[in-house]
Amino acid sequence: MQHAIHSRHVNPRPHLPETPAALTRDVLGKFSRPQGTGLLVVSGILVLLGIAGFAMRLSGGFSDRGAWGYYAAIYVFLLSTAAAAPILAVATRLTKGYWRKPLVRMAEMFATVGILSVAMLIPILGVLPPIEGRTTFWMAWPDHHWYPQMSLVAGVLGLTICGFGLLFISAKPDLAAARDHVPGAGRGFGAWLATGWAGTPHQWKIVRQGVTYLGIFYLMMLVGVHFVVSVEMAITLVPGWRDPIFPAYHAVSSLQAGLAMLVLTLGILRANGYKEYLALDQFWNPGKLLMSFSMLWFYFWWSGFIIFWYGRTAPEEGVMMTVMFGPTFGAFIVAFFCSFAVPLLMLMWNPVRVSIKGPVIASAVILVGNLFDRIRIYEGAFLVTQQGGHFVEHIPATRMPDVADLLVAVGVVGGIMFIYLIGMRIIPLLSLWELKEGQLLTETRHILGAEVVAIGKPE
Amino acid sequence: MQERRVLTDIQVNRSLLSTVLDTPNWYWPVVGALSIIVGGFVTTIILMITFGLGITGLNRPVFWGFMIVNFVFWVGISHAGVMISSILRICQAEWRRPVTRAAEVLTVFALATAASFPLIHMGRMWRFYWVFPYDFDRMIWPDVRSPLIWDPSAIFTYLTGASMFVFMALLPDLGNLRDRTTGWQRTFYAIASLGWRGNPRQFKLQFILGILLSGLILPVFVSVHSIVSWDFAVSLVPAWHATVFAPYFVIGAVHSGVSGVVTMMVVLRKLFKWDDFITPDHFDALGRLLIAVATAWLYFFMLDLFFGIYGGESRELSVMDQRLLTMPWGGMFFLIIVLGYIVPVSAWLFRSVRRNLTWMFVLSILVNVSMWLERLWLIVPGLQNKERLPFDWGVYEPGLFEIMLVVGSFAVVCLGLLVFIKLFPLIPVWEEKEGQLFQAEIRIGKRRVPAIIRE
Repeated sequence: MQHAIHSRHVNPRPHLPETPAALTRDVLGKFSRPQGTGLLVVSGILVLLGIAGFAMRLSGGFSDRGAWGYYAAIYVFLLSTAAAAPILAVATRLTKGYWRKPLVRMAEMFATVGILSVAMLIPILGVLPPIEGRTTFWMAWPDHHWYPQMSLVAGVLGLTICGFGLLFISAKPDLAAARDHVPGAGRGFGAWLATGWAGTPHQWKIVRQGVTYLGIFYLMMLVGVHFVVSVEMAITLVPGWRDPIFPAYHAVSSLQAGLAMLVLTLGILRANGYKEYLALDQFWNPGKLLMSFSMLWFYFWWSGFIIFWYGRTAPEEGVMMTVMFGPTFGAFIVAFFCSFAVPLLMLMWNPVRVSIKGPVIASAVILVGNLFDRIRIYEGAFLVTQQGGHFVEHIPATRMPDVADLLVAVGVVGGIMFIYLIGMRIIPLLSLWELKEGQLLTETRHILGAEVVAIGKPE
Repeated sequence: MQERRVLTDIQVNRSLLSTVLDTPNWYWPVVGALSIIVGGFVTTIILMITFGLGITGLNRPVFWGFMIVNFVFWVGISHAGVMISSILRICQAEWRRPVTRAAEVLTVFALATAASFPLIHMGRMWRFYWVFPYDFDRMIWPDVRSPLIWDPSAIFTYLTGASMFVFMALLPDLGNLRDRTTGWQRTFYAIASLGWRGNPRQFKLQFILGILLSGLILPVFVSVHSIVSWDFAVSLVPAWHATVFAPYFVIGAVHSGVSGVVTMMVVLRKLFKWDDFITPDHFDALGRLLIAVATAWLYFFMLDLFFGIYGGESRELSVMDQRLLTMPWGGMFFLIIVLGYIVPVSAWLFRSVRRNLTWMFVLSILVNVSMWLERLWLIVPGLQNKERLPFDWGVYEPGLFEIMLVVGSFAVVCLGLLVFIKLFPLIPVWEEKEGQLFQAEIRIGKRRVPAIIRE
């Protein structure tokens, strides 16, 4: 095992084409002749299966909330992974991480999956109860039945629009490069998006400020959406659930899953034509972050759990039974091990963390953990049918997923792949302008006999 | 961040070892003044031991007052050292070099001061050893389920780790001082430097130890303030029993701790004329860091506040009513938000403010005023809520002794820092020299871009 996945012999840095012209040719060549057509077809079939599952679920109507619990969990899993993946691009830009350059666009491309988030939200709006019958988060706000639904729509739609804005502004110089260098139909729809770009200093200033400020805004929107989702789709449905750490836990576990989704994607892309761009640095550094997030997952979960465990009031016992030890106990155990114990034990081991396959495998485990974590929360919360009261009086029985739930899950995975693959046919998957910038700002030198790299950091 | 002056090894030695080898004129008068205040602090403690805790404002139902507030505050300040030193060391952030030791030393003195407050607050402090499982004859054991028992373990682990951290990073400088002093000083540094010769093997071991300690101390740093928060949160006191307390306390601690480091750096730069080492770039970086930390603090603050009201429980609401709508707590809430977030973060958004030392000094002080008030605001109203029977209603009115303890604690930390400065260099000399070696520039056309070196 150790020998199989340990990759110290791998060059830690990407092996890019030597000159800016060669780099442009290579990046735009990959863009105009994209791989993965077979995968596109397979993911399209998975989407069709998902639509069939959705139709089956829809045929049962909206009245049985418990039946929609798995759908809600899969939906929040989508929101926790694809919507959070662009954050790595934002965070590494803000901290000026030099290893980010080959992977920022791959992260931002996940913003396109926002389309699926918006579409999948629509049936949930029908399933969720209006403001009556909940301990509402809107408190003494002017009375309106559909505040929970309105806040969900505003949040998810806002996040999606912001994500598209971030992707567009960051990709505009590259779309212009494609417009100017790729002949014929290969330029695609993206060339039209680059209309007006001439690369003036003013335009560059807008791009740089745009990616920074939109990135910060996206991060804040994401945290806000996790607040709204965790409150309106879980906390307010369970009588007596008063848990201030839960929205923060939700956001942190989402950042962990989003990062895992990105690392898994990087692993797949490296095996399919992007090997020169994705070297050890692009896995090792996210691997460190994944390890930290595994510890944070435990910290946030434990911080909430210990208070409930010591308090043992009736509302707290009701919540613990509903989302941890009752009907979704199995899902909770899987989530605990796959989100915390297994990835931590894997990644604290140097040969695994300092490798390419190690972080990719840990990411796959984390994604499984996040899916089960969302199941234990949302299936648990949706199963509670009691309206009003101070605590959960009857702990609901376990409900296993049916065929419709499984098909929807398959469809969501297919949907993420399908939209991503379409996205990389419209926008270059490598941020050409940032790669060129990196090429200019990196030099190999020798200090005291050792070969080192000087990395320019202009303010 | 690479805009430092290029200095020779001799210049670095001369500037940074001057605090140990020479004594500035202001040093002894300041030490004397601080010693007088510390004398007042010690006298207050002796009076409390002699006459009992009744001489303070503590009375039923409020038994946790200024002393516990001070304890939480100083534990918070102590978080700066590890936050800055370990994380920046692991991330190989170049701008850490002049900042790390000052932050680590602040950790040690702040933590030692914090640890003294539960002892003082016990009243019969000579019985502190009851927290240890000592009495084999009577078979009476401390209740290990209580966070009040976890507290000493966490704090002493952190104090030990932080002290090792300081010592480990001091070794090369101790060797340096040994070679530049005579008499008792030479003997002292020779013993303390543990035979440091500065050969490659020693530097390699020291580097590995630094990384290991950085990694190991981070969980300890998070656990310490989490456990402090659980002193409150695992009880059923309204407004204390909140799940968010642990990360909320930790991020508040980082907010006040990093601000404390900013305050200290401005003062040190002014006193020792370290303009070549502590540059506006450092304050710029710390200002950016503080924007993120302050925003995270506000997020947790609002979560705690919001869910306190959301549940609609009468006991919680009565405390929230006090905290938000009753004076002086309502006014304090306003001050906490304004001084802890609105004013400093609005100012830090401007680069010119982040690079202005006077502004940074004032803003960092405001943050810590806000953070001290926040701890008071969190602790006292929960205890003096009026939900229970009227005979148990009471208001906390701190007396002169408690105020003396607050003032004295600041004097203790400042005095500790001054004594340290006289014995050891506060900016790591060897790290500065390494930083000089790692300074680089890249030419792009006619422009020269500052660069960092990576293996």
